[in-house]
Amino acid sequence: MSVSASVLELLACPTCRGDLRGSASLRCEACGVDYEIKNDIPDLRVPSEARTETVREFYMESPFPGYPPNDTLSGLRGRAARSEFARLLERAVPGDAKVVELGCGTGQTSLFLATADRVVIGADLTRASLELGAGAAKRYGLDSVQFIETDLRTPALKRGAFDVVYSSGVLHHTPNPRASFKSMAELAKPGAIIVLGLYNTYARFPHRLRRGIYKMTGHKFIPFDPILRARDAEPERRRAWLRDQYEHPEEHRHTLAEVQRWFRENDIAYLRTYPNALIGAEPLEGGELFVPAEDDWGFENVLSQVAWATSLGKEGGLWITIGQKNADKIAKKNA
Amino acid sequence: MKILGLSAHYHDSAAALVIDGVPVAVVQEERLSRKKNDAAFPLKAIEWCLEQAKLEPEELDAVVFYEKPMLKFERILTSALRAFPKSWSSFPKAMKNSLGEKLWVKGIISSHLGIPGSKIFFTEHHQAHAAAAFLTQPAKRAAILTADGVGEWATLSVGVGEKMDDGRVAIKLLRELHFPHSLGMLYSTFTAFLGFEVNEGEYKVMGLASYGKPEYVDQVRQVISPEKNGAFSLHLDFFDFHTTAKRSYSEKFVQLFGKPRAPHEPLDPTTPEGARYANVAASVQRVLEDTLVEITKSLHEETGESVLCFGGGVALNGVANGRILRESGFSEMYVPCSPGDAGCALGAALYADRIFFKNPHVDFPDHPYWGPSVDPEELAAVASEDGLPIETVASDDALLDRTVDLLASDKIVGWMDGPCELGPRALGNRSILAAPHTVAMKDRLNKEIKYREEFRPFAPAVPIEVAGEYFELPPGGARLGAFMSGVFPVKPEWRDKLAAITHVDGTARVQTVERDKAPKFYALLEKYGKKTGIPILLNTSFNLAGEPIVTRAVEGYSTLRRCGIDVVIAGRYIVSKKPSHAVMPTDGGTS
Repeated sequence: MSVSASVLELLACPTCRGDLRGSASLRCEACGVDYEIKNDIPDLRVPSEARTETVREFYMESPFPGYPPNDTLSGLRGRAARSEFARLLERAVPGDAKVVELGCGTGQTSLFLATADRVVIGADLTRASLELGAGAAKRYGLDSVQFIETDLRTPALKRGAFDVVYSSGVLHHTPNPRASFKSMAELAKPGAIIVLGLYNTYARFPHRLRRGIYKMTGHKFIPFDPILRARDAEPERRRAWLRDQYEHPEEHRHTLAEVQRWFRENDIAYLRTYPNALIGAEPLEGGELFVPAEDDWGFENVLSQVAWATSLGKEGGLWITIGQKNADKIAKKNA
Repeated sequence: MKILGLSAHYHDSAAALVIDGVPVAVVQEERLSRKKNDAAFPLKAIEWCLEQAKLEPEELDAVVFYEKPMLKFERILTSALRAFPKSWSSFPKAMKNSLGEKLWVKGIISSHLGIPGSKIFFTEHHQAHAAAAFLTQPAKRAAILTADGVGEWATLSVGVGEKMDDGRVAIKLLRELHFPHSLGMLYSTFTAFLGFEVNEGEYKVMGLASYGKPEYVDQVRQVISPEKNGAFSLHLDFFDFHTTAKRSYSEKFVQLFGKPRAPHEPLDPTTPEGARYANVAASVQRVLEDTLVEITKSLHEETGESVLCFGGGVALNGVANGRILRESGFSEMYVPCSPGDAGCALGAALYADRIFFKNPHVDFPDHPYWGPSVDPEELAAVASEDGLPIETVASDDALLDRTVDLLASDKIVGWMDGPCELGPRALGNRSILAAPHTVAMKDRLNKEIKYREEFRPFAPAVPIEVAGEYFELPPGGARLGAFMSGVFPVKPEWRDKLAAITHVDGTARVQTVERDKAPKFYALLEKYGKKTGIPILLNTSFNLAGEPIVTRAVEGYSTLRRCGIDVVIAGRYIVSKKPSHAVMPTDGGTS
């Protein structure tokens, strides 16, 4: 299977950003470099710095999460839709959006979002993960997802081409998250939605305590990790959580204020967070995810983040921030 | 008399307005609130119903609630006490759950609607089911069976109904079975065991059953044993639903049937594990059918009636209904369009009208189209805002021709017409329609729109007069098919040509369409038949997984935008997607 035209127009040469052409392999029209397509996944990764390489090797060793045997698309969708955030996201992404997921791993979210007339690109650094995703896409007969192997800092993706740029649980594992975000933001069209999931400084504090004890006791003892405990019966999934949460070679944590600063630097308007940073807000179920929150007050934001230490803290402290590119210009145009 | 019937607080809440003995407006709250299976007090539905008749709440003569909250509370309290000490952990939750607004329904109705308590009435749950089954159909006399999970105490009741010549109506209860002995609970327990959502996934069990062999019938018989007159009792040590809300089956149940299936784990009946689940499903389905057949047989002998009216959630089991019709001795069988709790709103209103207030019976057409109408202009407006191609046709006839062309060229059509249906099934007014001929179409619907498990079939719609040519219908089968209430075999010679709607066991949940109840839909089927030779369309509800069926045009439009439907049609507007971004191979220099 070759790369479809609708996908090709979303890709770009990772070295010179030129257009790519071809089918069995891809060639940059500007600089003439050839890129191979192996097992339906174009290899668009250029050699990266040492710290990125360490992270890549970390994931090459054990891609996660895998797909259960005999899985079906309805099974995948059913599991994904257990999360309220996933349901809200699925509703909010327009039916004809061009979507890119940066750091898609084994591609579950990309496959979940590949409905209606959307075109979804799942980009990741690690071929081993991508191959699981591409294999699943093939089994389910989904032809609107394309997985590509590429580095976030030199992405083989067209700038300003995407309606939704999604990345969750990834940037905090890159050497320079702020620079990674800049490169992520460039992919968005004017008016496009940015969905960014990161470890929260406050919410991850309990986890860091646990990890400290883990290290101090010579990797023997971890107190109060509910996810680890829930996976006692499934050694493989337990091991995966342990590796990802306790042994990751590269990890940063961020605050909402910091993310809002990144947003401003890249001309992105802040819309909201998930979970909601407004204290006592109505649950969003059935509501719109991509509309601005009613309020944005720094002090309240800090309080909410502290409170997340008890809620999100149990599961590693990942939270989502949503923004819109060039929102003010769009508003002016519409007026 | 102006009577408002209500159901709320358990599963599907709904409101029904009956004026001078005839339903004027009936709608489920979920269709307006857009929350699937919304069980909240149905304020939106009430408001809409009153608006239809331009009534203020104080002009209502009566408001009727579909069950007796105190009696229900008594059951919950008694069951909890009987199950002590096992129930101690869930007791506070059960009390909190029942003591809130669920118990003080009279006060809630009174305060929301501003009407005195003297105008508020209650029917028993199974009376409302019985009325919804008997009073919405044309037969003068009938035996009545209701079966569901549980109402107040009753889980199953049998009786007879009569519409006398002088207009009086009698609904006589013969016997009832009490909680915890319940067919609905039995089936729901297996639904939970098989990893599906209770109150929602029962039809998945039915679909899965076709893939299995009833090898566990003996084991199922160990948990339910027959009593005289077809009644039964459950062996409670296999169950936990009466002691806790957390789990419906007990450890002993697991010992008998093996490991329960984790929700959302892959279910493939070709694997040994998957086959076990399919066999368990087939076994409980078989026992349910056998039990219902026994009950209806003895009911038939006892009453000598020729017509059976069947209400309650268990009546949604089309496979069982097919067997009842064939084996019970009744020559006709009627299941209302909404046999579950939503239909009880209408049932309660009719029961109050005929029995409490002794108003004479008035016949009314037994169609399901009692909800809000679609506004085609709304569709045109939103579509043009987004710049989508809108085709406007000159006449209804031209619209049907155009729709048939689209369907015949394998397009998937979102079809919105007139008032929306009451009940869980789309019956041609809010339907996704498609050609019923190929497996490819079924796969496409599953993959791009419904994301359903492979083992769930799609239903066909066929003009009632010719249904017998394509499906093996027993006498009375065509009548039972009006609301897709029966599952019948597809005639072997047609199975290849109707592959998208033929289930693995060669059956289909047929909808028989009558010209006078659904003229436009009927004409569409007729025209499709003229063009393709087979007047049958695949008809599935117009919604996405996890969402209620669409009501308004904007909801249909939003569904079009979010899935693989090709066009949406309302009034004389045909809205299609933009010429799709070309997904074509890039080799060979194609641009």
